Amino acid sequence: MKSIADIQAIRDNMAKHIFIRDNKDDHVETRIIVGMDDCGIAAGADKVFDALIEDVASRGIKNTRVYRSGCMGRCDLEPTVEVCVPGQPKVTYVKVDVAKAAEIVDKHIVGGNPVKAYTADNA
Amino acid sequence: MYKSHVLVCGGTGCTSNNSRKIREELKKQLGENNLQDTVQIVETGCFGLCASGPVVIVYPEAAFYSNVKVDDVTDIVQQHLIRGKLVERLLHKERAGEPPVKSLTDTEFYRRQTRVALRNCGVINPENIDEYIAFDGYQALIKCLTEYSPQEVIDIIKQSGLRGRGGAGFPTGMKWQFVHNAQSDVKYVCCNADEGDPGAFMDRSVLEGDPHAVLEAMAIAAYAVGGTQGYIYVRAEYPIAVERCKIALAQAREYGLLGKNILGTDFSFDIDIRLGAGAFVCGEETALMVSVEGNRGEPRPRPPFPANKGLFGKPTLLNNVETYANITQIITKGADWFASMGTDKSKGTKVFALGGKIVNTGLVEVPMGTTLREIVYDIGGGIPNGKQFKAAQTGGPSGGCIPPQHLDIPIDYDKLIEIGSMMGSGGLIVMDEDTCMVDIAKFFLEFTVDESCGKCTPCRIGTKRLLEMLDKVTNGTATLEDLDKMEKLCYYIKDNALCGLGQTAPNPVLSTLKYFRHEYETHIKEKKCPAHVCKKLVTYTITDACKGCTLCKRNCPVGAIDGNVREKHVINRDKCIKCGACLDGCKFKAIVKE
Repeated sequence: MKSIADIQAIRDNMAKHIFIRDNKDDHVETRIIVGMDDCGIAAGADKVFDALIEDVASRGIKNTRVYRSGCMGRCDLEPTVEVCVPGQPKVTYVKVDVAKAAEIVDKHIVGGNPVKAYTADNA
Repeated sequence: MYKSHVLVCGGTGCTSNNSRKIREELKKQLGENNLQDTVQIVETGCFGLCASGPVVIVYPEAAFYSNVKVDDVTDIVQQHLIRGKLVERLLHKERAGEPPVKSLTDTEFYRRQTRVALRNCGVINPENIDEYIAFDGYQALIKCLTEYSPQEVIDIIKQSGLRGRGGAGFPTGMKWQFVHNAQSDVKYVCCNADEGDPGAFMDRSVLEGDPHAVLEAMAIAAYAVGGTQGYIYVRAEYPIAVERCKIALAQAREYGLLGKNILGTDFSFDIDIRLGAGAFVCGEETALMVSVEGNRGEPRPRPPFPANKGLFGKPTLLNNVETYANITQIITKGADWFASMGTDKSKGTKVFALGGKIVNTGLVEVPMGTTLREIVYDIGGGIPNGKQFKAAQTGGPSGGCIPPQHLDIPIDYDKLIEIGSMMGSGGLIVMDEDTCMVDIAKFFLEFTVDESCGKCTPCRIGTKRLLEMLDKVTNGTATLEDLDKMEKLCYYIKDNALCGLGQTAPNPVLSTLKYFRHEYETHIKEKKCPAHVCKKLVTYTITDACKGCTLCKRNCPVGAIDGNVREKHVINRDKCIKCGACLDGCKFKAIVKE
């Protein structure tokens, strides 16, 4: 037997878990693409991917989807993460780790300012 | 926390296509690759694209894989889940030769739909109440219990303009008001899930994909009308729907969303399931209640209406599954939101089960007022094999056939009745040029003859006589006078039958007589079936193109073909059973069917 407060608690608690399936309320979406081929995984891309998924879901950032993709061709700079914000040029981050990923979400996705220091040009 | 969700359709269509094995194989391979803690397998209800099943969707990418086989699981796990590469060859293609679509929401099929009743179908795991709650489940019930009086709830439903989705389109709010006004210590709230129309599977899909939505709406209805006990009357041949309803009921009771003192309030209500044996007439409200009581399902005259004297002689509210599936959304999003969709007198959306000669066989939900053309061509993908649209049958055995000239009418309750069909529960069977309209009318009438309960004479004997007349037409023994007699009998049955089953049974005949009378006349005057369907009127002939290869002679199961090698063969019409085996095998197109 649950109270109304219990039901609301279940709902709030579940929100993070189902976010991956339902984060759209608009047609445009920001894409965060993690290169997840063997080269990427060897460099830790899987951990970056996991961290990004969790970060986006727990902050409840709408219209943002984390994608996996294959090798982007710069195996020496893995893990690579591309961020595509609608209407803005694509930004490619290289040698990303969990801490950098958090910063990218914070500054670029939420704040709207690409983190220049981690892009391919500065590698 | 899971980093990937793999949604596998567990609707009846995909299950019959082995989706259960896909799930098991996925589970096994995830275990082998140590992914069981990061990848979640979610068994969902119907996605709607049954023709392309089994359907698998992988999140976070929302990659939409269709026609998945058990053998494809390895690629999904190894390529997609481990290495992040979408399995291109499995991505859904809307049309042959076009590049694949990436996600379900990118498809033409999906983008043109408005999903209200189906909002959770194919999105949540119907066997997990927490997922339903996560998608705002039971919020409408909480809102009703804490903010609204029963009368206020009824007023909202009235304002929304919601009409019964079972077929007749009676205003739902008014029905609730009648039961609310009835004086009684015990009142019942029932759900009609006795979906009997051939080709209709909307209600089944809602119960399979989102059972809690129905339970929640029934609880809201009970609160509004003063109901104490609920029953879901569902056919026993919907085993998956029944199973998920049972699971949902147990979970809702455990959470205190059903039972005594729901969520700690004074309101008590519980629901039981009653299984129907599959009689079509039991979808009729009075017959349904008799069947719930445990008696033989036969309708009775009204009044008294169920709102005053229904189940066990007590005031009873009976709504269809799809009607209930709309309720929670109306409460949460408001009556104005709901009324903003649809046409003047038909508000909201309607679910249609697309079947017959159409590319995207499946389930779609569109705002009322959408044209038949949009549903058939834009969402349904058109007619396969480049054939021509001939008619669409709506409303099952109670409805009629809509000819091509009405493709552009906006579909709502009243427009459909105007053109001689009806909404019905929402089965939509598309027919192409190879369909004989007399044969179709016969098919539906055979169904009603079978399903007539036998209580009233117009239905029991009238439909039988009507079928015999149709038989004469398809045999080539009818006269033009028979057509007039048929029409007369149709109206007689319509006016005099006891319940909706009988009153609407002649509709398929009437509507085909109205729009395709020339086909009836060709059967009678020329003794020919224009679509080459009616066997008695079809003849097979071998033309001069015959090279004498003897293949047809060897293929004929009854030895009706004579001829020597390299000589033209001949079909013996007396022996021919018109199976078409000769025509199908002929490499020289030397056999014609006329």
